[in-house]
Amino acid sequence: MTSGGAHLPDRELAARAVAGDDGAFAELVRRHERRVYNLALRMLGRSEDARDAAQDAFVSCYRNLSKFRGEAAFSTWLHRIAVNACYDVLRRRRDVLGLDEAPEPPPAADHGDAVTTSVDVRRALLAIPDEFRTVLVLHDIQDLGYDEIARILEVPVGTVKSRLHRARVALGRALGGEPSPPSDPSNEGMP
Amino acid sequence: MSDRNSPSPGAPARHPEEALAGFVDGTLSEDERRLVEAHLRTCSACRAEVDLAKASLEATGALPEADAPGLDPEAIVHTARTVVPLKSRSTATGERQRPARWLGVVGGLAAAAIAGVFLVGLFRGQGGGGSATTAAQAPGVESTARPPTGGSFAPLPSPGAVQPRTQTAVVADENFSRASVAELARSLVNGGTSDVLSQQNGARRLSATELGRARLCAQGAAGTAESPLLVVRARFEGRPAYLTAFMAEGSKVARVVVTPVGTCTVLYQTQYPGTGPSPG
Repeated sequence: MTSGGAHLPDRELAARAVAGDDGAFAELVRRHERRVYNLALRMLGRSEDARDAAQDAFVSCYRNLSKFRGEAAFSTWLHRIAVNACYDVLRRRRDVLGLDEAPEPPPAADHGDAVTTSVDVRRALLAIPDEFRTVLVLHDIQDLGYDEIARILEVPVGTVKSRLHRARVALGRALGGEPSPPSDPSNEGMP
Repeated sequence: MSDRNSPSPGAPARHPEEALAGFVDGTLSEDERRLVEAHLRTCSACRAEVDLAKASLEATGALPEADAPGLDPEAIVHTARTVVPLKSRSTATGERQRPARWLGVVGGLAAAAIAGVFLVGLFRGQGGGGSATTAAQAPGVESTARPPTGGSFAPLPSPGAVQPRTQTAVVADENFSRASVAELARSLVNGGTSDVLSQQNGARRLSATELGRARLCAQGAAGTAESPLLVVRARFEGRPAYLTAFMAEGSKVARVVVTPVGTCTVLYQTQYPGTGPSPG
């Protein structure tokens, strides 16, 4: 691979990668892999699954780079791919085990968390519905705004806000040891 | 939640979920904030939810950020160029497809595989796998890397003819070679009860995701929907890999597919069409 263009904006790197510059793609991977991996880690719980999902996301990104038109920010587009990669892992997990319940909880302190409460939060995160967790991770952990999350998920901004509130309530209950009441993420208020 | 559906007299009929998110985030305008505060004064359910939301926000804010995983861009590009995407995968634009129906069927077998562990020591004591029986001693063995199309393998009998025996799902440190994969196929056909790996060497059960990925990769490669008898995470020629074995009891055919961890590239396939007693 050629060297990478660390000074170039994402859009330029993406264009170069489409033209065959693998070094430009490598720079995109280096630039974004931490965010993609952390998204997957909080969505999936287990570090090995998160790594797989991150790799899948970048494979899909590479395959579809020519479809990236630049209307949205590259990071928005990549986040959409990464969320779908996480959903794929979650779906395979359930398909294979035939379980609708929460996935395996993360092993304790598998990526450096020092305190027990951190493990509790990670476990509680996995106990809330996937679509709630997605919005919560994107907003409260990845610090993305309502508008960008709406573009990533292709839902109205009002849906993002109501889903975020429900997600927080569900996580708050899970942290307190309360079972979440049945929630249907699709039954959401529209803006 | 019943009180949420029966608001207090004087309270707005609809709970302002969208505004409650902004209220907790502190992003509302002054007017919006006053409206929410007025609602909260009369709605105990929403007050409780705001408290829960604040607790959630505090908890997630304390989560540490993990380091970058150090992905290999060259491997990603290689995979993107050479691997046929699985049909069950989502597309980049967000379409989600239903999984193949057979996945539900094999799901039960996978659960059985995870529930029971097994194993043996056919390869125990063989350091790098190079000391295993050579491929030349196993007639019918193929040793080619193939795209996941099923290639020239003869079709296995229908799933109904397969009699699953022990299913293995472990991680181990054994380093398989082409010869030892061939030996695995041969041993399965010749009555080997999959004394293949031992949990003693730091092995652990595969996660559901790992098991599912290995199964999908191998089935894509083999072009069949049969349930594998054996799924092993090990090392193949020094690289992390899954070994997935299919076997049709009735016709004494075993197929072993090697795929690298994390992708669905087929590294190696071997087949042992045994027809009788062990040739050796």
